[in-house]
Amino acid sequence: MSHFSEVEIDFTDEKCLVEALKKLGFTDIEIHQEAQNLYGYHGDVREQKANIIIRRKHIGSASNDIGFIKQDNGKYKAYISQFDQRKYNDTWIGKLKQEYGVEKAKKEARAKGYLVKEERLKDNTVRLTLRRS
Amino acid sequence: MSQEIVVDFLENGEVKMEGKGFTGRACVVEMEFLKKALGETKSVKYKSEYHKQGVTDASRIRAR
Repeated sequence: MSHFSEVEIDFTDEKCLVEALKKLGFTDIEIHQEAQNLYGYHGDVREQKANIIIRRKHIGSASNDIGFIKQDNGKYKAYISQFDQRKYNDTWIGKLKQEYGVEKAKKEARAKGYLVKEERLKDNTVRLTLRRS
Repeated sequence: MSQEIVVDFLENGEVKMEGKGFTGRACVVEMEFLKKALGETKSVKYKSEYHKQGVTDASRIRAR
């Protein structure tokens, strides 16, 4: 071995982010080229807009929409209401980053010609081993 | 030893990467695409093998 690195994940890939949300249990996910308004739990239109949206009916009866908007820097920013942050908190974002990272790494590594082996470890870490094909 | 990149995705969103079987800068070069694809590198720790001259590089030096 020659070096170790630690990387902070940014959400930049739409398909990988959608796949990660599906892995966390969301099956109905809207994808919009042009950002659309989010709605609150009363059905009220919120000022926030998003490109990737999970509507409140798929989250919970008292929930608001959850959305991700693509910013000018190419990174997605999450909109999660204060109410919904009780469940969709930093722990949930961590799991989302984990699943997103796995998808993104597999996609990029295969495009570079790597063979990818995936393992789920006992502590819920996902390990990818990349070898040249 | 065969060359491989091991990437651990922790449940809290942290990512740890390790290059195995590389010598010199080959490891850094080989892992760069993945770091860029995933986000921002927070820290890098070099092992002793990093400071060894790679076989390919050594051959080039001798050829000059």
